[in-house]
Amino acid sequence: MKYAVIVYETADDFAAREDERSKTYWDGHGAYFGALQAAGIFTGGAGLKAPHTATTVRLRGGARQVVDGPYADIKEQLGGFYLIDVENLDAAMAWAEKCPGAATGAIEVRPLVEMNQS
Amino acid sequence: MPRRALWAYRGAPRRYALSAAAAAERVARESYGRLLAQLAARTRDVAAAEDALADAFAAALSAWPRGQVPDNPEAWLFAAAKRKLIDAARRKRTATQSEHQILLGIEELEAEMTAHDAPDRRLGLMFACAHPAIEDAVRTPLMLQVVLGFSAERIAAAFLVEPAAMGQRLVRAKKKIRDAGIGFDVPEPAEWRARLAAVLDAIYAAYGAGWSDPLGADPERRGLAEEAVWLARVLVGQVRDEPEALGLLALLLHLEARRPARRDADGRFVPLDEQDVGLWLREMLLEAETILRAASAAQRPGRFQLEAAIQSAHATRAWRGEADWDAIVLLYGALSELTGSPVARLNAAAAIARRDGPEAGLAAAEDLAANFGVLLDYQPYWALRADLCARLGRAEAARAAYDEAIIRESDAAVIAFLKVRRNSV
Amino acid sequence: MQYMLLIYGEESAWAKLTPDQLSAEMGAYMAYSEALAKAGALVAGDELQPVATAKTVSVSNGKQTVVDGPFAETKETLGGYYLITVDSLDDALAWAAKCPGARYGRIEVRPVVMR
Repeated sequence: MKYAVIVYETADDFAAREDERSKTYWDGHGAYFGALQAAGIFTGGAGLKAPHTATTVRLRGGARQVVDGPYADIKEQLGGFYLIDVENLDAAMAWAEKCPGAATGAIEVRPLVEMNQS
Repeated sequence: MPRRALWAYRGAPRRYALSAAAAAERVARESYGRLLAQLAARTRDVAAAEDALADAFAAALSAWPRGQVPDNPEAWLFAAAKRKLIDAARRKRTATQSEHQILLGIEELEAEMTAHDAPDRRLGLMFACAHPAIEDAVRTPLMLQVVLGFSAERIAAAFLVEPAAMGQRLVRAKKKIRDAGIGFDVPEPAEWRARLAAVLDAIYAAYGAGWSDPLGADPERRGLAEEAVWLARVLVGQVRDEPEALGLLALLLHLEARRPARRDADGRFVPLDEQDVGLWLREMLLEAETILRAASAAQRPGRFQLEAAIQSAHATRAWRGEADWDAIVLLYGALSELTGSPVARLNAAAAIARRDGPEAGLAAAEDLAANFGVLLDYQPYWALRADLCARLGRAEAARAAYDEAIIRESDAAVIAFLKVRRNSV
Repeated sequence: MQYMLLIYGEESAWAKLTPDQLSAEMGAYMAYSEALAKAGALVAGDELQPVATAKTVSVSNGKQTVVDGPFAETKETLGGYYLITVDSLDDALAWAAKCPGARYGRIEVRPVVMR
């Protein structure tokens, strides 16, 4: 089954990407990514740039509304996600616990809708 | 004197006298903006382009006003920035690039950017500064910094913000452009109107930052009126047929033309209908009229054209001894229909008072306040009410209204004026 | 540049759709995916199952906690995403505006870290 391992990061986590902790930060995710690949379960995902780079779009009455910033002003923001293909939820949870973001932020695990389509 | 016509509008010659030093500074800033726009357009990294050009720009600002402005200012700047550009290219060098290739690349860049027909990418830069993904409050400062090369300190002073805070916001905004990938592209047709409106609003806001210090007495707080007019001219130069851009420039020129009359010799506030028209800058008014006429030819009315037309109707006093109150009433009516702004309606009420008498004006103003409670927080509403009550002999109501106006005003000269009026009721 | 289009919407809205409306929505998404693919912009895209299926892990004081449910209980939740490759933010915004989710929800557009 396919799951999204969704990483929520604090402002400090985002800062760690760029300051003196950056090597640790990126090495951590690099190692995790390597582990997912080695286990043969990685199917996709992406790291997102920090929330200040976000722009939010709505279409209302046919008109485009564009606003600077992420969709909600919450303390922990989406930092990225990994897509994995594993046996079941427990297996997905086991991998989520190993994700670097778990120690400081939070990891949400959610199954993907799998459609039989081309 | 520099060879370039700095105030060219459709080829019209320069009209307003600038000292040689000031004119040279203009050339430096224009060339800087052009070069910055070209450099930054490639990488979307405005801050890096600023870094590369900073020393060269500083040298130009220091040397040109004291001597000859070079025939090809962009070439001069590029040559002065070359070492830094090469160093930056070396730092980003890929494994396969040789030193020779890097130098060749810079030479090609130089030829491209300094040719006489080099494209002017400042329009795309202005659209980027006013992009919806850029926080509202920083759009005007950003435009002033990247298009005209003004420092964060200068801009901060005009907006009454701490320089460090302004500096930080500018850094963040430039990071957003780079990190979010905001391109220097001209918007697609479906988005053009809204995006252009954002650019116009940002330029108008720059003018507003210069409004409260018309004498320019404090050099730090001189405001940004001239710079706003300048930005409007840059924009018009890029989008010559855009009626709203022309409208904005016409509006700003009308407002600028009356600057010398807004304070008397003792620094006291002078209301519009008491200003000495002899102090209005005639040439500037005529230029504003020419531009507004060109705008109306497009038959695409808009907010800034209406605002300019209103100022034009006020300026009629210079030629006919009286403002065109009929036109002003109609135009404010059209403006309030277009924008839904209660302020426009209030101004219509003031014009109705001039055209039909204080009773009609007061009735209109009171009716407005009943429907738009927000006006009760607005100084000009109370000032109008006070003036009309005074004219109708309602002294107590007039004084009370002046008091309400005074507590809502922050400009010392205007407060002094209102107090004098209150005491003479 | 690569951008993520994060589709936020109210899950309850889906429950209120009739079968015909639901099928029309799905059709709209398929057409959108095809348009992206045809333009050479589509890299990936997925729909997430409802937040009721979520579990959230966090670690505090060295202890790991697992909670049933999504990370945040917000009105609008993440329903899916598209990963696209385009030239600039404006191109990404144009695609976001065309996404069916933009009509009733919000699309957050964020650039992807490329390392």
